[in-house]
Amino acid sequence: MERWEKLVSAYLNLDRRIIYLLVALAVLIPLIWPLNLPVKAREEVKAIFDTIEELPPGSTILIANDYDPSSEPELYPMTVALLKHSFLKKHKVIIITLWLTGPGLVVKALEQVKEELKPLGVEPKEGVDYAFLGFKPGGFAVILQMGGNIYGLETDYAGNRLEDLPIFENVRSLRDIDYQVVLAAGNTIDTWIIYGSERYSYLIGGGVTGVIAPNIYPYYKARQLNGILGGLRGASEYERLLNAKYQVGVGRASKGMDAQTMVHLLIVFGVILANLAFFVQRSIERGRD
Amino acid sequence: MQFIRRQLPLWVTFFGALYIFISWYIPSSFTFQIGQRRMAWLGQDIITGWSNWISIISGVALFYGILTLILYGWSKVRSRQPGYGYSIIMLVSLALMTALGLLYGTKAAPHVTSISYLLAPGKLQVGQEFALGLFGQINPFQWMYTNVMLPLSATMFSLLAFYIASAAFRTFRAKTTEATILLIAGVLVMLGRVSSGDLVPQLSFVSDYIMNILNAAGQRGILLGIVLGQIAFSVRIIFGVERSYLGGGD
Repeated sequence: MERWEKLVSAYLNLDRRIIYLLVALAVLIPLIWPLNLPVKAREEVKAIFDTIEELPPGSTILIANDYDPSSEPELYPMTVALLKHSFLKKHKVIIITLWLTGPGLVVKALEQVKEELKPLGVEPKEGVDYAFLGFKPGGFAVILQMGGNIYGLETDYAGNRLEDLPIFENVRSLRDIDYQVVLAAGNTIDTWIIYGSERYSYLIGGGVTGVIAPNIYPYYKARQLNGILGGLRGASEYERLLNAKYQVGVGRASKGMDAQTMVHLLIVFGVILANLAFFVQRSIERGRD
Repeated sequence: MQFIRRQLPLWVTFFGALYIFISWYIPSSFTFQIGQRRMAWLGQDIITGWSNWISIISGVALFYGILTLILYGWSKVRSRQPGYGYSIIMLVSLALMTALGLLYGTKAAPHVTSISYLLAPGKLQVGQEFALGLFGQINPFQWMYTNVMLPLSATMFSLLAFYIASAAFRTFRAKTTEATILLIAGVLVMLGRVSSGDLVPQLSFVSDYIMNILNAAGQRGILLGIVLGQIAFSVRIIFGVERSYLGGGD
């Protein structure tokens, strides 16, 4: 009994550095030696993929890249996958960010996507096939401005006047947008729904970090969002759908899913064991009393 | 004086809010002509016009935010307060990124900005060659963003995984009925939302049920509560019941 007690006590008072080490190993090992675990696409992810897939070529897609580098591991793969899919389908893409530190990620994603699509003969042109509006301050006010008159935003990230860009020839307000995907690390998804899609009647989907995903399910159930990409898993599902259709390979999200699975299993296993140890310790203490 | 400090802001708030509220529900615009220019006095264009002002004020607020940060950092450095070394790093980083952005722009490839042209109209080549030598074909601003800011921010956020694992291990105990329910739901969602959910379809089904039905119902309640609270608070501000925004504590 005393041996058990010592063992349980040692486990419950485990040095946190050992836990950190186990988490680090659970992340690193699958990244170095991938396990290629399965990831099946769910309805909410398929809905976004199918919408972009079924829109006629030349449709206008608005991507709101409302996140900063701290959420890059989860949301950046979504930006890359959505851009790739849109360019492969010959859609016009307008990108904007309501987050001050967001533009650099869009610049990086555009460069990466253009580089990766070049061997496939897809070479989107700035101002014609896509436009990046940069960071615009004001949150909901920017959305209302876009809803009334998109030219009111004046210039794109490179300083070109919007009315001079061919992509904006037939896009004068949010009403001319065929589909929007908001990639958000904060609450801008609510803002886009309230002031954008609901007021100007267009279809919208959302990609968010795993932490925020539970908050936006009411919008999905109420059909105010037509689909959800939730966290790294959502990004991975989208990458796999895209690869299955166009053989463009999978990106970082799919590679990261093995690591995330291992860490989840480690935490669940650790918590269950800790609870068992807790009950054993309590029963020993009660027996002693 | 009392009228300017107390009464006037209340009337401005009341009529301003009423004006925007009415314009919000009018899809078209009512306009009038001044010379060549057509101006709106009610409707959609008012919403667009006011949103312009909000964007301008947000931009100015951003500028003030940066200014306050500089002054705060500088005062810390000057008085050698504990941790002033971090303020030095912050001020140097701020100055460096601003300078790189102004000199080389923020696009992916290096390009000549109007500032760099103004600073050295005859020596543009030197600046460009320096940037090319140091950073290659990549814009220095974007290079710093991608190679310094991005990994630092991602690292800071990723540290959460370690803390969460440690905290969950130490504190996640089935001590009460509520804690047990939370524990079971948490474990099922954690397992169902990763590849283990695809290996065992039942796990995925239960996880989706928790997220789509139970979670959505709870979140919906919270969301409705927040929105009703916001509406009530707005009405209190519009009618002058809530005056804390005026300052003075009443």
